[in-house]
Amino acid sequence: MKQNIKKAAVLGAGTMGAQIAGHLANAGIPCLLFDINQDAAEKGKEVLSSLKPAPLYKPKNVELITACNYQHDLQRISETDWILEAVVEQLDVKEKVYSNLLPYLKESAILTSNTSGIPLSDLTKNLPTNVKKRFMITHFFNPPRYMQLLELVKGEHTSEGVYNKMATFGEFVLGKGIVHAKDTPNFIGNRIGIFGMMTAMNLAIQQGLSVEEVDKLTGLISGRPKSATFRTADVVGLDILKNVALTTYNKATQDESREVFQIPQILDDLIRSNNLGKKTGSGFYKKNKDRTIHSVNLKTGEYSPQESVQFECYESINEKKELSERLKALCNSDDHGGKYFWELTSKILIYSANRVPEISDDIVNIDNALKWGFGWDAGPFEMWDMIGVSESTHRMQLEGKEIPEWVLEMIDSGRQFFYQTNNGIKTHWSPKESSSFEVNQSPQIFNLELHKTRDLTLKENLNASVNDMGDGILNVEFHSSLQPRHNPIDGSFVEMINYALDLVEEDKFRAMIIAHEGVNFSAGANLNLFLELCQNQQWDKLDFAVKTFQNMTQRIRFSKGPVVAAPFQLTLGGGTEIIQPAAHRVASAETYMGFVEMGVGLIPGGGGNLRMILNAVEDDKGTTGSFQKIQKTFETIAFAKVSTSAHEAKDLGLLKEDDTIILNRDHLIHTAKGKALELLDSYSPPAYNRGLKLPGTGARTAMTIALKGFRLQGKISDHDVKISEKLAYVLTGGDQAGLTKKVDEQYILDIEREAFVSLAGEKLTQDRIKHMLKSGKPLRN
Amino acid sequence: MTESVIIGAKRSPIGIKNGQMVGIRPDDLASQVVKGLLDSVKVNPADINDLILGCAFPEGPQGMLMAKGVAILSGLPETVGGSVVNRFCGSSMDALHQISLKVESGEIDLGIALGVEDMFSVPMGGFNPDFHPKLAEQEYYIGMGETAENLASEGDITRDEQEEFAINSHKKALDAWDKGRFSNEIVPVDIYGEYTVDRDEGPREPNLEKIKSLEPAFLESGTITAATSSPISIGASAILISSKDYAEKTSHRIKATIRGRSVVGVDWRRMGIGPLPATEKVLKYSEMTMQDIDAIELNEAFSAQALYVINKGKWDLDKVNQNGGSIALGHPLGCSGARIITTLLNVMEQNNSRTGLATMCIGTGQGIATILERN
Repeated sequence: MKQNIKKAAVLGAGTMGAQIAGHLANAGIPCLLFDINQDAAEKGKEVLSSLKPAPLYKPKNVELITACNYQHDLQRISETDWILEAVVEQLDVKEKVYSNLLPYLKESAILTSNTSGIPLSDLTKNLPTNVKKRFMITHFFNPPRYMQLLELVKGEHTSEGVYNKMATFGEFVLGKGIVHAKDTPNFIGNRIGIFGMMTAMNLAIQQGLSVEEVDKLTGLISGRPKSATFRTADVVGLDILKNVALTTYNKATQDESREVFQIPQILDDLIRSNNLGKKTGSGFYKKNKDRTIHSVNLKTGEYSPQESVQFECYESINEKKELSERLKALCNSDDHGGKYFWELTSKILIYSANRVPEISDDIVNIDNALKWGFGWDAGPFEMWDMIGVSESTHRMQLEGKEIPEWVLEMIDSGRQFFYQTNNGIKTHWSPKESSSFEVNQSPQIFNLELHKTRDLTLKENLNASVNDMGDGILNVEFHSSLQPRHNPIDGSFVEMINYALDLVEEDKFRAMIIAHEGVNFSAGANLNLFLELCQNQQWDKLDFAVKTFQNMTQRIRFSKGPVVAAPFQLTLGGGTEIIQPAAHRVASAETYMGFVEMGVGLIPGGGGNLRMILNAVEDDKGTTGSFQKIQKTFETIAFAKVSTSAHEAKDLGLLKEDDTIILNRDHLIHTAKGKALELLDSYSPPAYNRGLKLPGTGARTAMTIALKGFRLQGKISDHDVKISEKLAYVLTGGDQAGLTKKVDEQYILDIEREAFVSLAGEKLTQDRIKHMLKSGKPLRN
Repeated sequence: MTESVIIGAKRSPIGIKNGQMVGIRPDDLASQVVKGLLDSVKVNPADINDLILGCAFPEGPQGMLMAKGVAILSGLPETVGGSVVNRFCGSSMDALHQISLKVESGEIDLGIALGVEDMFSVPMGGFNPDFHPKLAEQEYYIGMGETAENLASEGDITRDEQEEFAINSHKKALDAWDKGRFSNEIVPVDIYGEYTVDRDEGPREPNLEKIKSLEPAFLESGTITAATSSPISIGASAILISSKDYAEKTSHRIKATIRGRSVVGVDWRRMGIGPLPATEKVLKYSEMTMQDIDAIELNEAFSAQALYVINKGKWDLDKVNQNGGSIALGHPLGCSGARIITTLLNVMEQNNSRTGLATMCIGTGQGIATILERN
């Protein structure tokens, strides 16, 4: 893609400014980070290396950032193509910053503000016309690396070219989801998102719900982040929450629900007593020195131990896999939890609908803003569709709630949903035009869900499908029905991958991609099934299952047509073993990959060791000997290292150097398909490697001594030593390798399987698995 | 028999992790020190017969018979030979022994003994460690830290004592730098035209709070930490040795005469005791007693190891490592033997001492020692 922004400047090295600079560095763009003095700028830069969650894909990225100060370095603004201002939210300060840099502004440079509260028209009042054309608002959400939302706002003078350039840059280079917003207070995300939080707070006070009750109802169960309402407020900072709420209150004077943005007493009290949330250690929740967590009583302001939340409806609803079913059940539940949830939800839905056309002409940008900026699984209009538009509207009317005209108009027109999908085409209702339009989508997004509505699924089981993607390309999709977020691997995945490979082998298709749109690519093997085999001592069955998986991974490797895999988010254990043998990988930058088997007392069993050996030996960089490569591989697996980004996964040898990494996860499937087509041109599968030179017994002896050292230091347990020695045995090439010998791929697979099955028989390993299943955390035994 | 004498000795500054020296090739580093040595002592290069270089892991950039490569890079005539000797930590002291023996036997008149180690480009253990399982069973590959822990517990050396020793090592080294006592031995190193390093990077003002907070480095319940171990480092040192006749004929000042040499083997699980029997042996050979020794350079692999030797040998602490030791300066394995000889010569000159002992322990269970005498 053509890209004209080669260097950028960020003005203001506070939390947001520094992190935006950090994300530019992630995207490979050098950045000048300004603040009032050199110390402040340096400090902002330094923070990038210590902040959690990490703003940088890898620590080295900080080298792309240069700390600058306004006194000495302003002339360097002329080196930059984009200047983003993120200074304090005071109009006079911002105006002064602009006027100071104007003399150095390159003719073609774009100037944007990250303001969340000051109208664009005020910001540009004193700017010359030719700068007004190049001025707009680019509003990032905190933390900018992780929050997908980028709200763009143009002024009346902003040129289309400038606006489109920023939109393209944001989407492609920074990997953001672009929401087109209007110049209204708090734009879209914060306007509705903060309305939701303030309403949740006010209703809790009115109806007497506790902090933890509200968080239970407004968390994962209703398709929101785990941090729900009050925990999110603590993370954001209560002072910041207050400021954002007051911006709407003070500036959106015509808002029919303006009073919601008034600050409740409890919030003011907490702020006054410096309980500002996570940054001060206490807010709505308080972390005590003994690590227990207390919550605040919304009526008295006193902290007390958290109480376990008891809703009649909760357990049965939480078991439902589909968000739509959960939302419906929550809204229709009779207990006080259900009443609260319905009241909160209906208020959010009505408020959102009332914001059209004030803050957006269409509903799509509103839904996107809440999904990308607040981590909702579904935006307000999508939620409304799930609950049922006409039934819920009817109920609201019976309760005396005022429904926005345009919603009733839509229902009257006979349309039942805000969004409808038919034969691969998704439409949305446009309140402005009173009719429906196709949802515009970036050509870089291959929408699998939509695509499948065209009846292109060739085969499907409970957890995975094989889809025809067109152009002779197949897709294997994971959609676990048991654990939709984690996609644990079982036989059904293997069945679908093998089926797809058969079709390629039979020349019915030319290539395949393993990709899907779920929450995580795959968090690894299904441990429940595995433990069952162990406990019944069905070792032959276990051996067979492992061998079947190994064989599948080799089939992926040697497939006649290229296989491209598209990992993202959690890609652990078996998930890593599925993507590694592919001909190529297109990874989301946010890929958390690694072998975590050690935590459950095992080593990789599905070809992971072979793959790591091949990666280490084939990605030959530097002057290290085979021992060094294997030692590094050993450490990656034995310490269960999980990459904090795809870039780090390359450094760890989990991904290959020439694998593709893209910042926009929504582009993943399209890019993977493109890569498969590209590879087709001259594809031949890799040759079976009979000449693996591994360091053998002598090296293993050296590694064992290092392990003994760790044991002496008290860093690992005896069982860790046992597992690690098995791992060392496999990675150094068992009994047949050595400096003068060679082994082949199948030998490694065989000794890996043998080691895996023997570890599975260990009681301490089984204890680790049980503990993991029970608590979700590794047991150290 | 001909006497062998030292007519020149120089060393590079010693670089530590994340320091400015990391990145220079070990052969380039060694040749800069050789050039610096020959600048300070103007011998006719054609008179140099042989060059023996000590290095503990002679592979990778330290491979391919680095000694001859260093001779060429130093601009020495092609008639100069080159040999690499490996006796781990004692490598370059061994090189000095070999050159001096060649001189004393009358085979050569003039030679260079040097040592270099870049512990950053070649890992300890080398690139392809390939250990013998039978030796492993006998703990031949025991970690150096573990051997020092053995001595700490055997000699009842507390963590506090070790820390005090380490702190003194830093203080003495800083003081020596401040008073210019190292300036005579240092060859400033040019890092590929980018900058010059002219000072040891290891010595620093001890941060007591940090030192006390460190976790044991080798044994969960142990007493040794990173602060009481010699740091991973890079450095080179070179010594010019001739026959007494040659020095007198060419009017070069004799810095010291090499009086005695010794090497011993000891229990590898307690390799740090090596200096004790090595010293005993070299004293006997030189017909001296410990009372005759004015200055001692004892290589500090670990505080615990050095203290064990000093305590058991009842050595006079005031005579030991008067300008600081390897805990502060660093212990670039192959370089350290020549480095402590170089430092010893300076200490002897500065204090006008007559006799000096340099000794060190060696991983795999050995000790090595040398006695020098000024006229």
